[in-house]
Order: sequence, then C-alpha cells, then structure tokens
Amino acid sequence: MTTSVDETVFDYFSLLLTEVEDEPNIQVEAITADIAEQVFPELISDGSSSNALKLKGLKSELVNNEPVIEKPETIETPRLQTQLKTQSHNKTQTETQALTKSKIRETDPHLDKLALEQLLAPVFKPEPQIETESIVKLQNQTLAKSKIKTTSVPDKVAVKPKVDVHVENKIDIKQNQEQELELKTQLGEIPPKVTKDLLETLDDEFQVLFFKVAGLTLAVPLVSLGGIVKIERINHIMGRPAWYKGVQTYRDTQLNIVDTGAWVMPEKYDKALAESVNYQYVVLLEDSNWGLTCESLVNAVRITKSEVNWRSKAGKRPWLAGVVKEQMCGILHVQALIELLNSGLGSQDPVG
Amino acid sequence: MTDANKVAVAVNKDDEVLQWVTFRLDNETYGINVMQVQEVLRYTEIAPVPGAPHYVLGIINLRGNVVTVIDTRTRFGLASAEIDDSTRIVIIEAEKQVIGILVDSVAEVVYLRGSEIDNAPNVGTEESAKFIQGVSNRDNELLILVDLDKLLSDEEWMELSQI
Repeated sequence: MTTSVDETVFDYFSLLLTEVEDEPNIQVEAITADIAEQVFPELISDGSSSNALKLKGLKSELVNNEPVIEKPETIETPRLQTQLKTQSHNKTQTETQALTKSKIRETDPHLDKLALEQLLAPVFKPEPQIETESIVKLQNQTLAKSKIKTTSVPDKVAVKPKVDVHVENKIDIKQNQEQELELKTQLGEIPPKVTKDLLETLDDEFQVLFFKVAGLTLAVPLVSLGGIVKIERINHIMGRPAWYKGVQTYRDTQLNIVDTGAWVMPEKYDKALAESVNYQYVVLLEDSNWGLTCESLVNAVRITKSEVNWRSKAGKRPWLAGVVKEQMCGILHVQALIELLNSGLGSQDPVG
Repeated sequence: MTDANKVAVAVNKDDEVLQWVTFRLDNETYGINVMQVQEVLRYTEIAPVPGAPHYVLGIINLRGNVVTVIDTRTRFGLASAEIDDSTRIVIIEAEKQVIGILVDSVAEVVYLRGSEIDNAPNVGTEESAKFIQGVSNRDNELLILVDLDKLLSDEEWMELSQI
C-alpha cells in the first residue's frame, strides 16, 4: 500500500461521485459493509483472507437478499429520490403525492387502492367530477323543489283563491275569444248584435233581390221585400228632403218614394247624376209605405248567411246589414232603414 | 196607410164632408178649404212693392182694396214659371187678412170626407213642410191639402199687414 489513508478515502469518494449509475448498489454495498462490520466486527478486524471471503459472502447475501426482504420500502425510496431529481417542475405535486402517500401509510397502511384513487381523482380529473357534482346538485335541487311543491300543496288549505285565479284566467281567455269572435264576425262568420234581429228571421239559406241604382248594386232579403211597383206618377210634396222623391198612389194607398241614389250616396248624387238616372221600379220595404227607387232589377238568388260579411256594429250606417261577398254589394237592413226613413233621416244624418 | 194614421183634418167626429178648391202648381194638385176662398181672379198686373219680402210679388187693386199677392211657387220652394192664360190669383182669407195667391190654374171644387185624408209623410225639415194638412188619393191622383193659416208665420203675417 503506497497511498495514504487520506488519499484512499479521497479516491473512494471521487469514485462515488463519478459512478452515478452504480450509486444505489454502492450505497447498499457501503451500508451493508458497515452493517456487516457492526454485526461481525471480529471478522473485519481480523483481516484474514478467509474472513475476507466470509465477508464477501455475507455482503453478497445481504445485497441479494436485501430487495427481497425489504422490497416495498427500499424500492419506494429510490423512486421518490429519482423523481425529485428528474421531475423538478412537478416537485410540489410529487411532494404532495409522497406526503399524502406517506401520511396514508402512516395512518392506515391497509387503505384501499380505490379509496386512494377516489381521493386523488379530484386533483387529476377535476372537470368530470365537477360536472357530475353539478348534475347531482341540480338533481338534488329539482328533487328538493319537487318535494317542496308536493309538500306545499297539501299545506295550502285555501284552495279557493287558486280556483278564483284560474277562473279569472278563464274569463280573460273568454274575453280574448270574444274579441276574436268580433274580429271574425267582421269577416263574416257569426251574426253581430245589430243584425241579430235580421239574422234571426233569416234561414241559413235565404233569397235576396239585387237591384241597381246609378251604377250601385244593392241587395234586399226577400223576406223584407214588400213588393215591386212600377213607377207611374210620383207626386212631389214641398218641404221634403232632397232624397224624398214624393208620393205615388198604389192600391188606394200612398207610397213614400225615396230617391235611392240621393239617400244612399248624397255626396256623389249631383245634379248631372240625378238627371242621368232613369228610375223604373219601386222596391217596397216590408209592410211599410216606403219604397226605394231603382233603375233595374238584377235577379233574385239564394245565398247563405256565411256568404255575407255581416257588420258587427250599427255605426253610422245601421241600414247596412253587411256586404254580399260574391256580388260585392251592400245588403240592406230593412227594419233599420224604415226607422231612419220614418225619422226623416238620411243615410249620413247623425243617428241617435 | 192604416186608419190610425188617418187624420181628421177640419173634420168633426161624424166624418163630415168638406169642400176643397183645387189648383195646380208645377204639375201637382193642391186643395184649400173652400170656406177660406173669397174669389178667383184672372191674372192681372201686380204692382211690385219696394222692400217687400221675397215671397211677396206685389199688390193689386181689388175693387178699391189693396190686396197683397204671394208668390206661391217661391213659398212652396218651386221654380218660377211663365204667366199664361191659366194663371189665376186666388183671393183667400187667413189669419184675419185677405191676400191673393198666384197659382198655375184652378181646377175644381171637390168633396172629401175626413176619413179620406191621410197624413203627409212626416219627413220634412223645411218650413214649407208645415203647410201641408194631409194628402188624399182621388181618382188615382194625389191631392195635397194646404193649411193656409200656416202658409206664413205669425211674424210674416204681421209683416204682411204693414205693407
């Protein structure tokens, strides 16, 4: 031995520092050698070849048996050490893992693997966990709410207010329906108030007479037609409105003849139009002595109520019951017309 | 017309027969109570009166009495017409005044029962509508009966008396 003890020690440690791959084994060898020296001091202190061989054998036994005997602990430790060295960026995570593992081992070494995974799952797979939690929460909330609802119903003793509210809603719905019906009646579906009397007298299918006055076609239901008289001699009576054409004698009675054009459309019935009109017949209104002059009788046809757009409100023209859709002409409300004529009112005079 | 609508014009409860003098005006026949008619004159010159109402044609001298003549056409709301041989001046008494009315012609005197007189259609809004007492159908011809007392209003009668 030419080298000193210090040099030998220095070489040994330098070897240790350079041989990184064999470090665990060397450590193990060093540790085992130390243990062997502590356990078997007589063999080491002796320094004989036989003892040296025995020591080698013991070392090899210790090295070979070491992983087998203490495998769980001795393997875990170097793995953690290598992880600490190689995965520096995940240091904290690994430390926490290691700490949790060590803590678990300390507290309960027989802890189930599944339990561990469950505990660690929120850390590694947070999103699905949150989703399930939210779903569960929502389900719980809905369940809770449904439970509240079901429990609150029997608790409410006052059922009547609820029923009243429901009835009010129904009334609102009815009102809306009535409004809709009113709108529909204007489109010619159901008879309105004004024409109610007329429509009650009419069958679903009824006949109307169409006649023409100064290019205007008018219709009168046959049930409201008192007769048709040819114009012969109309006596003018002074002090009467322009639309009052005069009186015609008919079967010992006097008919009040209305200048239909002047009555229906006074704004258009100027002198020129009045002179151009050639009245031929008088359409008598029911059993009254009123008659409407007309130039020609078109025809009498059978129509249904649905073929007429019935007016819903009397408005300014109560004499107009509606409009016949196909012929696009006004249908007369004879009763209202008679009332107006008896009052001496024209078609555009204010009513009421 | 129904019986209920019939009016007893100057007729008592016994449906008395009255006489009516008829005259023509613008192709219509009118009747006036014969008791109010004094005489019927041929057309004579009518002297206009300055400042007289529009319905006054003028004055005539009837046997020394000044008689105011009314333009009946104007009063009835009818268009004016030419004077011809048929034109007559009917002297009547109404509202204690004697006046003359100018007419197209005088036809006859007719007898009418109260039951034969019907109401005139009550649709008139003009003042002239008040003149008509009623109407009657006679030989398929309508006779319009005129209430002479209502031919003019009270103010007009007063105004007429001061001409």
